Formats: sequence, C-alpha cells, structure tokens
Amino acid sequence: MQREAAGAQAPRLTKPGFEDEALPWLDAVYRFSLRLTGGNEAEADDLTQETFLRAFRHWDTFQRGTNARSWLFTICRNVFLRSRERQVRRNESLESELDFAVEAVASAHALHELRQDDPERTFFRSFLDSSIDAAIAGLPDEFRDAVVLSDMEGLAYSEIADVLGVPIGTVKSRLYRGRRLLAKALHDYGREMGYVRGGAT
Amino acid sequence: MTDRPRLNCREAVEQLWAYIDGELPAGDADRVHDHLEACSACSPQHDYQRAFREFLKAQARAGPAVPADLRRRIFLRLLAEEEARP
Repeated sequence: MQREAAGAQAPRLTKPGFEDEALPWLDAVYRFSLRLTGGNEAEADDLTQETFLRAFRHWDTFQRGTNARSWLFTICRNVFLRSRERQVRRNESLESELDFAVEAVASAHALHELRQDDPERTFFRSFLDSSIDAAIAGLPDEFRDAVVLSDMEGLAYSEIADVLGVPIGTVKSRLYRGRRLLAKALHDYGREMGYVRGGAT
Repeated sequence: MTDRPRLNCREAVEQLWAYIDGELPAGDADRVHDHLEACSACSPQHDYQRAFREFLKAQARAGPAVPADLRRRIFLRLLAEEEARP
C-alpha cells in the first residue's frame, strides 16, 4: 500500500462526502466522548475511533445534506451505551413525568439565587475549567447529555431528541433540570471557594 | 407596543429558556420579547440566564481538540477500511 508513504501528497478517502461532512466533526465527537466517559482519555480515544469507523461503514445510510453532527453523536452515544451495557431505564421514572414548564421555572429560580449572590457575575469569570468539568461530570447521565448537547455543542431540541431517542418534551425537561442541577452545583462550589457571597442578604 | 396578548411574569419565565435557546415560534418569541422590554424583574433574569448559557458555551469552545495522533490513527484506520472493503 503506497498511500501511507505518499509523503507530501496527502491521501484522501474516496467515500463521497465523508471527508467534507463527517470529518469536520472530529473535535466535537471527541469532546462528547470525553463528556460521556467522564474525562477518561483512553476510553474517549477508543470511543471516537469506533464512532468514526462505524460511521464510515454505514455512510451509505446517512442522508447526505442532513446534519452529520447529530448522526455522529447518535452513533457515539449508542457505542458508549453498548460498551457500558448501561441501564438506560434506570432514571426513567425520575423524569418521564416532569412538566417542562415547571422545570423551566425551577431552573430559572436556581439561577436567580445565584444572581442574588453574585450580581457582578464574578462567578462566570472565576471558575477553573476543571471545576466546571467536574460539575458537569457529576450530573446524572441523562441530564448531562442534554446539557452538553444543547449548551456546549449547540444542538437544537429536535436534534437532541434524535440523538437521545426521546420526545422533545423529555429533552426540555432533562435540559432544564440539568441546568438547574448544574447551577446549584456551581453555586455551592462558588460559595465554598468564596466566588459568590453565600446566602442572599 | 403591539396588540398581542401580554404575558404575565410566570408565563414569560416558563418560556424563557426556550426563548434563549431560539426554540420558540416567532409569535411566542415576540411576546416574550415584549414582556422583557417592559418588565424590570424578568429582564435581568433573562440576561443572567443568557450569560449562564454563554458561559457554558465558552467552556465548550475552550475544550480540547482531538489529539493529532488520534486524528492520524483514525484517518489511517479509515483508509485501511476503504482498501479492505472498497
């Protein structure tokens, strides 16, 4: 095989569209893999490789011109779930009945408390990446996935619904609840570290 | 001001995340927008929620890129796959 030794002439994949539509999401899939594995680099490495290998093998089933990113995230998460044989039904009762309007208000309330304690938003400038990563990793899986896909990767609700295989209403309640839990975790940490005043006065 | 039905604070807050996420239909988003313009209680809340979301987004942008070595290994594996199953 001459391709690897081709030197200055970079080899190219011949499968139509894969390089242009799938490969640009390599960083995003790697980041998502890191989130899914709780920051385990070796596992994220395997997961990213396996995701792209599967995507490559099944590229003919991808609808060209639709969003390759959500498609790749779906594969990535499925590979991860299978590798963990995780009980995805475990938390179903936690959120299946939640009303997303109620969650939206509760989530706003959690941030409202934070705002009371930190009107200058020093909070947003004070955190170390590692403490935010730890707070995100500490969320229950279902809520973490929704928050990461929406707030960090910018997917639309309908795309997240596709990736997670749940209705949009469930996406909303998971997302709002995840945000509330995350705001609370960061708030608690911020108080501990003195970033926010602690106890609204 | 328009003659659209006005939202109260509770209704506005219920829709605030969907509004910030850009997921509300245009008419609903307009009503939330009108409420925020007029309400000194909800407007700072909106700003703070939006800042929280931006804060998380900035974390993602600062996140790691795929290591060059992994990028290379994936690419070589795909090339090998292509040659094995053309």
